[in-house]
Amino acid sequence: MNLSIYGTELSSRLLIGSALYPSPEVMKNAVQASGSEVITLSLKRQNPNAKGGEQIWQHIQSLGLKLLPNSAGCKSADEVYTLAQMSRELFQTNWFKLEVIGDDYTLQPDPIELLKSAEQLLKAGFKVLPYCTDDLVLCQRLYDLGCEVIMPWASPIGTGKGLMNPYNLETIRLRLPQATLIIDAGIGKPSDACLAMEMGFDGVLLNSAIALADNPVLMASAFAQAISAGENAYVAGVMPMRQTAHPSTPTLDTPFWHQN
Amino acid sequence: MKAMIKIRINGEQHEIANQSNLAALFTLFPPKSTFTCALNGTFVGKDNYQQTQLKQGDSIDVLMPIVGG
Repeated sequence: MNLSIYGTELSSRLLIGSALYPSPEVMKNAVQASGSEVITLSLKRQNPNAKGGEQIWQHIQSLGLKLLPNSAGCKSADEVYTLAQMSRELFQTNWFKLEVIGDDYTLQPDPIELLKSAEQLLKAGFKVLPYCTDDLVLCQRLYDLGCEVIMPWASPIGTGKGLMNPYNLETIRLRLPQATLIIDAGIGKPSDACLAMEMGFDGVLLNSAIALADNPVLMASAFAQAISAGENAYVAGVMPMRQTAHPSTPTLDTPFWHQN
Repeated sequence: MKAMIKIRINGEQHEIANQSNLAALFTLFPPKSTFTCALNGTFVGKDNYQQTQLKQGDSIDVLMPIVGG
């Protein structure tokens, strides 16, 4: 089954970030190994003394993937709106990963500005993919506004702590069956991604867990496999958990035992 | 001689002839790579550079693509 993002069908359920890799070459190889069809990127002020900006952009372009620009660092809906318009012009896409940071320590999104911003961007024709906390009501409000894709965090950005609140995430999946739900941020290990997929999430967006691995290319491949395994497990249907032991081998006509 | 006005590009102060527009600004200070721009925090599309006149104290943000997560 494909992942659907605002009607665009993707065969990979892994969305990948382009930052933090040891080199552009490693980034390209890791992205290719991940099988991802969507890559995140951003906009920053031109620094006349910085080198490599245009080169990195060319590297990303050469991958030929769907671009998902973000609003990393924005703290208000007004800032996001300007940046989104700039991104749309430069990257030629309506897709926008909406981030509005409310707390610098945890990089936790500001839910009030997030809702305001999502509404503003949807009205302006953007396909909004909001990064949010694992708060059911916030996710519901975003969905009600028209966000077909919702991206709750597993844990704070870059921590690699995995799924902090599995109950919250399972509840969001249960209560928003029609939404495309993608876990964004906090994933550390392939098993974290696999667990999210086993819960029924539609995809996983990650960056640090691959880019900061000792071998990002191999880790990208490991994540691709884990996400595929988790998705298959969800579709296959996990067995119900039981309180007591049940022998796997049939006990009828067991020889030798209990004869004395 | 035309009067000059002071403007800021990405926080750095520059001088440009009064009544210059954004297109003239980018001819005088050409961005080093693919870029998009905002004037005083508001997006200005490339089609509007010619008719966007600059005034004293304007702040121009010139942004370029970078990696992101």
